[in-house]
Amino acid sequence: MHESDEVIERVAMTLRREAVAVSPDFDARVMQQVREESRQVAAPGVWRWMTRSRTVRVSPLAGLAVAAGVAGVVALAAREGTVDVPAGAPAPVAIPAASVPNQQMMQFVFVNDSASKVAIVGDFNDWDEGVSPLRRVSDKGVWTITIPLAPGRYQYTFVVDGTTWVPDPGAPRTLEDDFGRPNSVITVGDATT
Amino acid sequence: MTRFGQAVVVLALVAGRVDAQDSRLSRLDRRVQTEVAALVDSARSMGIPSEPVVDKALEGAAKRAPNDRIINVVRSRFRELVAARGALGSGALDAEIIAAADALHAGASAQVITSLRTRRPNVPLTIPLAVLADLIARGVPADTASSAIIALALKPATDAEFAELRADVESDIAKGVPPAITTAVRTRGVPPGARIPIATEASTPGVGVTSASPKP
Repeated sequence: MHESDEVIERVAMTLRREAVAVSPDFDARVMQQVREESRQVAAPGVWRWMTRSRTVRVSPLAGLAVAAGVAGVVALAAREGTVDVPAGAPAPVAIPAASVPNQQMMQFVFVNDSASKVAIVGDFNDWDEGVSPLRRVSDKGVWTITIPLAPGRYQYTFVVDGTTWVPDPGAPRTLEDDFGRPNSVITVGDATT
Repeated sequence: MTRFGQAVVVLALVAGRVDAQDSRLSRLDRRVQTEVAALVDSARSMGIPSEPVVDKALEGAAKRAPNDRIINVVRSRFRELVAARGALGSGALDAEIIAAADALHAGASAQVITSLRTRRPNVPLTIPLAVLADLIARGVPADTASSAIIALALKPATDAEFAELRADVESDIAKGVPPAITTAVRTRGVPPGARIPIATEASTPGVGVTSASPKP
């Protein structure tokens, strides 16, 4: 059965079960709608003529001539559209498609089956434990998060249950130990180089 | 202007100053906050990135380090950024300056950074400098690591090749190859992924599955 048939059948069943009160002006509103739609269908013949598809036969030479004409019009329009910028005026600024251009999605994975919560803190989130919590993705203690990072070198570490700082065992660590707890390092390259 | 008017102007200026200050600094102790704000102002006026200074202070606060320690570390970070900017020259990208500061912090010399810039004037140095810092952090002597990076830059290597060198060296070190040897050998053209023969190869250490990797 067609989907619309099912809808109609359900409406019909409902109507059979209970009486429906119809507004007195219901007929008038329906007929008004019908008249408007019929006017739209009977649109001017010109529009129908213009929108109907046709097959047009053109010789290669004529096609080239038309293409050259179109190219000339476009070039002329582009030239007319050029505006001389006065000296000292601010240069136009290209707006990147994303808020931070050239970011790459970096996935961090951490394994700990006894943790109740895991977060990542680092140079990319102001070392704020509340910003980037990892999501537990398996009952075997796999935690993960994906973070967009611009090219650069970042230090980070994991925080388990809000108390234990654990560097990433799968990433290089910093040589220095500025604050008594080592960090891991991730380097994001520029995709264009 | 009346005394009241002067007071209003001063208050407005102070309020504007406080408002303009990075709200993240409120996580810092007042004394650290003042120090960091001054360093940030200096960094901006010198055209070097200020974010690493703020990051370092926030890291110290998150790790509950003593105020004096945080102040010392952020001052040191600031000095390294200034030196990195000097070594790279004008027009350096913020990411390059930060990576160069990391390399200096690890033990690389400013001359090596300048040398890299001279050899790759129009190509970002973020990855080569980051790899340099990472190699030194992994135990490769600074001179050996510097030579390796400059040799690759002369090739000239792509960012992917620099990253490959780091991955190979880390892999070799994990297998027990001395850091200096693997770096020197890998730089001389051992194919990526190839094993460096060594008499005493340590067993694979027990490492967690943790990793950070680009997501397609």
